[in-house]
Amino acid sequence: MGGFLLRKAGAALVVLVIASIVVFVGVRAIPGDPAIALGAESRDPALLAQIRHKYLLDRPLPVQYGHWVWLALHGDLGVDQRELSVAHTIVTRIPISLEIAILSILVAVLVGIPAGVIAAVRRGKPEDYVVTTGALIGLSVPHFWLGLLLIIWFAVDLHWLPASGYVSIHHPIANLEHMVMPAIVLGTGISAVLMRQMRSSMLTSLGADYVRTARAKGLSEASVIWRHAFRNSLITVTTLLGLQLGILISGVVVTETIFGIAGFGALTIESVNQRDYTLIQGVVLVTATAYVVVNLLVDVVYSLLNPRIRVS
Amino acid sequence: MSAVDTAALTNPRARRRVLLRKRFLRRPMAVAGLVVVIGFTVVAIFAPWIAPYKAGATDFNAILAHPSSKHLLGTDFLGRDELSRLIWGARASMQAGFFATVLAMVVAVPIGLVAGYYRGWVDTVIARLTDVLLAFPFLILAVGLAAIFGASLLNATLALGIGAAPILIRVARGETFALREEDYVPAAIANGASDATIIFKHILPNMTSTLLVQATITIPGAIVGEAILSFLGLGVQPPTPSWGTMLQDAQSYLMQAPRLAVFPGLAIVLAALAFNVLGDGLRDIFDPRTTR
Repeated sequence: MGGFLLRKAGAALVVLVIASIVVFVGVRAIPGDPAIALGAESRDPALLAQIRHKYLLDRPLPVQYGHWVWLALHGDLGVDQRELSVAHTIVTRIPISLEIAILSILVAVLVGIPAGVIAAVRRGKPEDYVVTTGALIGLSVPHFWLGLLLIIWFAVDLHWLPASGYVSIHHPIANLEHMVMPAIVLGTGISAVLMRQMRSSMLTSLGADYVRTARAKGLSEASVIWRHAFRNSLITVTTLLGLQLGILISGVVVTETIFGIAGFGALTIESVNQRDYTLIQGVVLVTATAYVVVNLLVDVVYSLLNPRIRVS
Repeated sequence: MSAVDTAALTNPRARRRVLLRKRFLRRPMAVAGLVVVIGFTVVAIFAPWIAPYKAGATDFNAILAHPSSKHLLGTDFLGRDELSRLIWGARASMQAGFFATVLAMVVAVPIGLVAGYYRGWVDTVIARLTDVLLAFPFLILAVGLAAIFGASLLNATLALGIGAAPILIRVARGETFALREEDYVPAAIANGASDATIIFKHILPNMTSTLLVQATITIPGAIVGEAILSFLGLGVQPPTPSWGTMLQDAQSYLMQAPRLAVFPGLAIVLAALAFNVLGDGLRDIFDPRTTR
């Protein structure tokens, strides 16, 4: 177990180093002199030299990279165009996006997993068709469009929910009112994927020998379904949930833009639109780190659920 | 029996073609998908002749006008004909869908072939990298490209193509793994064929049907992806029409003209669904296990 985790953590570290180099080189590849940008478009050679010296721009790239990583490891991602700390901006935005992500996963799991089980148990019956058709629609409708439709129905027509904005979690009810539509929008697509996977792995489990044995032992149908088939199906579904991470990160960006929520996702788009390179650099680095860390966590959970992985 | 039919029955390749066509025509959903796909393609190519108005033609006397005989789907906030913009917008979607898929194929297939054919450490490295890239948010890639090279349809297409490549690498690698075990590979080796000949003349032609299916289901992903990127301002730039930019414009007028947010979305769903249904149908006819 220890060796497995160590190997995975080592691989994660390598990916992270590569990602940081790509981000660093990518930002350096942007045309234009950063010193001029930092010096508020001034062309005064003395000032530019001073800025270059201050930000180590006169040093070789590996030195600059090392300096950047060193500062990043100490929580310093530099300052953006408005002289605000990038790290601080990111830290204040992340909880908002995290809340959307968690609520969406909750919606996805609460809808997708029971629906998948029902579809598998009632295979070929009307329930199955309703669920699989629903999943096909859930997969085909782009979630940003679904967001606009929900705003039209529930905010503009019915006035049930606020159309946009975010209220701090200190006001739980207002907070949830603002979160309902974003969570549904992001959750439906993921729940469709989960449902499909749950259905097919439940069908596999229900046809397996141990299920036949359990039935032969005279166990109740509920016990066969939940204690035997369902628990074994959860393993594949957990990995799949890990693979949804990319969709989740992209989805948070889109959802926050639609619902006017000033989270980390919206910050990503703002940073590009404002061509604020320190901010872009910080945002992408944090995203890559989150991606690597969550993937590592999924591997750990997976190995806990499935002992065979640890040995091989 | 006519001469053509007799020829078809004696030539095995022609016979397979006839069989595939017969199997395809027996699937109404797949045929419907193909018809819609052809429809969107024709609309995209012949947009200048089909669209009732030019994409940028404004009519300030009919701003946010309701659907009428003059403007079948109404007009937007600049009095531009919604139907015409939908028709012009099909171009961006189809271009992104097609070229992103071609790019993904060109990148992924050779890598998959090499990994699957040579195996060993080459395969291990490629497989690990693919695993990492598989779940990487393509949007972040698009954000990076837009930051470095600017937001445009071309850069959005590049991001979508690169984003789609990992899945295709996996498919090509898996197919090569299986096809390498076929008898004709040792036969070709015995004949003194080089690795390149085996890969490109024996293995690649045998995976074309799999690749065709994969391409058909990669396109809708790219179409939706283009719409998302353009919606976020990372793709097609206004005033060029695209279903994504139209939705972005519509967002400011959800109160006054909610229909402007409905039509482009319907177009996206219809196009994506058609390609997906067609892809499912093609998979069914190529895969003997699902033959009825």
